[in-house]
Amino acid sequence: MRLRILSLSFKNIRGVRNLDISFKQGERKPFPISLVMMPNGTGKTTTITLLRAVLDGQAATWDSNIVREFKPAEYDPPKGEFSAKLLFDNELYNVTLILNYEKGEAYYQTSRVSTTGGGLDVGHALPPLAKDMFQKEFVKRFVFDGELAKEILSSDSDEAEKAIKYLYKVNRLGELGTRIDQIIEQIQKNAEKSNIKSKQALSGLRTQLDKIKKTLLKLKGRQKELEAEIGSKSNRINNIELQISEKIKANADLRERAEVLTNERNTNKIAINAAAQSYLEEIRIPYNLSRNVAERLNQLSGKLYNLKLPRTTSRQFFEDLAEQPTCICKRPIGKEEKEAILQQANEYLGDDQIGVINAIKQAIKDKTYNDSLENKTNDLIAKLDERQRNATDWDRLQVMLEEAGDLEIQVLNAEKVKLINQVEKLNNEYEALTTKDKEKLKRLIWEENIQLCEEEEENKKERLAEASNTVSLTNSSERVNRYLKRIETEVLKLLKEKIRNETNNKVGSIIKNDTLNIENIDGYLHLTGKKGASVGQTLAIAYSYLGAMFDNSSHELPFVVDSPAGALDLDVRREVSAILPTLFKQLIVFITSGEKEGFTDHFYRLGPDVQYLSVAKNKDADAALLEGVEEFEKFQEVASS
Amino acid sequence: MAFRLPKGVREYHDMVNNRTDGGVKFKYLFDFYYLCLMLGLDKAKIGPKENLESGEFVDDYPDPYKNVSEIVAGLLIDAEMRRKDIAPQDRTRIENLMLGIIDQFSLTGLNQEGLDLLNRYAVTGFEEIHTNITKTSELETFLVHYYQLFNNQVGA
Repeated sequence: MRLRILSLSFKNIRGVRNLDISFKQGERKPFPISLVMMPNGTGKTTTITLLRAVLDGQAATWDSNIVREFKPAEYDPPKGEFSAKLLFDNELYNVTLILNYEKGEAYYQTSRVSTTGGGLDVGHALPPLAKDMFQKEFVKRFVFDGELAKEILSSDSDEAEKAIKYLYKVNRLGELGTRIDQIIEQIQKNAEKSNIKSKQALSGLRTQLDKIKKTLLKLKGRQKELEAEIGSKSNRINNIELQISEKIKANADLRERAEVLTNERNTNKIAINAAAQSYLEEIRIPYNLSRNVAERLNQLSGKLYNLKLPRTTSRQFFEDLAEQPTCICKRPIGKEEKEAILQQANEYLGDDQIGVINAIKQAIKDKTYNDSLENKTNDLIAKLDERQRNATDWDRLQVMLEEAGDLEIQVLNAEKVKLINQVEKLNNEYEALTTKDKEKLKRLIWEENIQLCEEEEENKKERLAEASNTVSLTNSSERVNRYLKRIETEVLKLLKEKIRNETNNKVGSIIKNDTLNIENIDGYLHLTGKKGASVGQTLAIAYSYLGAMFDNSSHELPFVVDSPAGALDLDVRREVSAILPTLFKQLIVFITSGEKEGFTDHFYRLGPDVQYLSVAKNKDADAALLEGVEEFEKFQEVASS
Repeated sequence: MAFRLPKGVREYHDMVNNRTDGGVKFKYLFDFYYLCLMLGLDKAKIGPKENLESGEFVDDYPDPYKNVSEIVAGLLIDAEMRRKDIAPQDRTRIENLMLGIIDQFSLTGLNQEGLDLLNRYAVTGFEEIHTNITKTSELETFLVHYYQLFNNQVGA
């Protein structure tokens, strides 16, 4: 599906009041890029909100306060309208959102012009594919604002992953699973109603199941809370350690020693990492693990040779022999002899079986133990000891500062100790909540552990299924749900990898002064070796990510963005402005005059495919639309008010 | 037909792989499985199936392990011979043992029975690790303790 926005029209809307904005470059073709200068207070945010509503159809659920917020302040019209002319593939739709300020209600009208006839529909009547896809959350991803960009990189959000799920409809698999569960639940409830005798028992089971589900939800919520709390406290501990380190380095008496220790620590860390990496590779060779392993392999090899295993004659030899008129000893092979040979042939291995055993025999032969891993272990132990010594020496410096009366260090230390204790308690709670270790589970109850709670839920569901005679139906639904889950996981994995690679390509071609690489997409975008990025880089990454996502989709959607460069440094604005035109087939950008500098320069070089519009707000009058690059360039907010 | 993790392995593995101090992590989840397996084969003892995760985690050896797949098969044969107390000169039993676990057409060279055994040896190995090595996020520390455990140097 291909969507283009051809025009927007405002009637009695706060800010602009009455205004028509056309993005058309040809009759049914918009400019690839439209820059719309709208001063603050003119209605950028209003435009974004209304455009989203036109696409997702959510305005019908707005309450009266929200509807009336769009009424102009200067006069009192009974209603307002916002329309968008949309081209879906080659079909023209005009979707109008009517805001009845008197009644506080919003409703839609859709008119369409198609090759097979048109019509006017009451309601939000987009083409079925668009109606299905343009859910509220999905529309936000291509009618965009900067806040969403931050969420894509924020560890508190799973925005990045959600975006993929919505665009590629992977979320529908989960919804299908939920629907299946609802159907089963309804069938079970119907069974309860129809059997009076067991009604109470079934009702009791259902109550218990509901309680377990609530507890499970609570436990999972607590898991997220603990992860966040442990994360933030651990960060604070790291910050304190940094501050202490700075204090030590700032002390003239201790500085030299501190620098030596810091260098030693860094060198040691690099050495340990290299040693551990090499160790991990070496340990994958089984006969290097210990002399015993190498000896056993050799002994087994010896046994197989001595026993002449596998037997060299294969089943195929006898099968072929049975087909011959005479045996290798020259005696004739008749029917009886043939049957006897074929029967005995089954005692022998097939050629390919012999091949596998021979391969094993060859692989385990002459394997000698070498003490390289032993040496590496000793080396690693030495490096770990060095690390420990360095840590002890460092602590000693800290003690020296405290003893010298440095109050701040004492306070920081006290806070660090307190935090470490808190983190330990939280970790213990987290461990109890999330452990799957069977020994630890024996000491826990289902109300405090997720695994046990899930098992309890399963047990209760089974009992309910038995009691309501829905066992086989429940089993089937569970099987389907498992398949759906597996499909969802696999599909998401493949999509994420593809999009990750493409995003990295786009980011790499744009941000040249820093190495930014997305390591994986797990809820949010994890950057390699970094916990976050600067504001500009965040936006650059978010736009590259969205571009990669939409690139790979079979749908072509416009990208509408409010203040794409925001309050950014000039060089960062240049980065962002260079990316955006490359990512989307239709781009509509709303900016203020204050954001022009550094952002619009790039667009001026792109030639006639860029449209320049300026919306001038007039006091107590409708906003005016000025077209052309000259007006755009000289437009200043002060002059317009 | 695939490898299955002993229950509890992920917690150990994740503890290392969630470290944020810039230290080395496991490259593959299979690395940890392999360490459990080696220890279990060394002990020639299999653990209960119930201690395995219900789902599979990989159906073939990752690349670094492809050239040791036959050695693992050899170690499996050796472990089974010790576990079942098969005499070294008992040709028939040894041959039947091998035929009972190999599959020339499978990715791993082992049939379902063979893979099930590997997984159950991994269960034992993990129990050894769990009993003797404290969970840590430092892979370097874990590897040293593992080597010492494997070579009966626990506490050295």
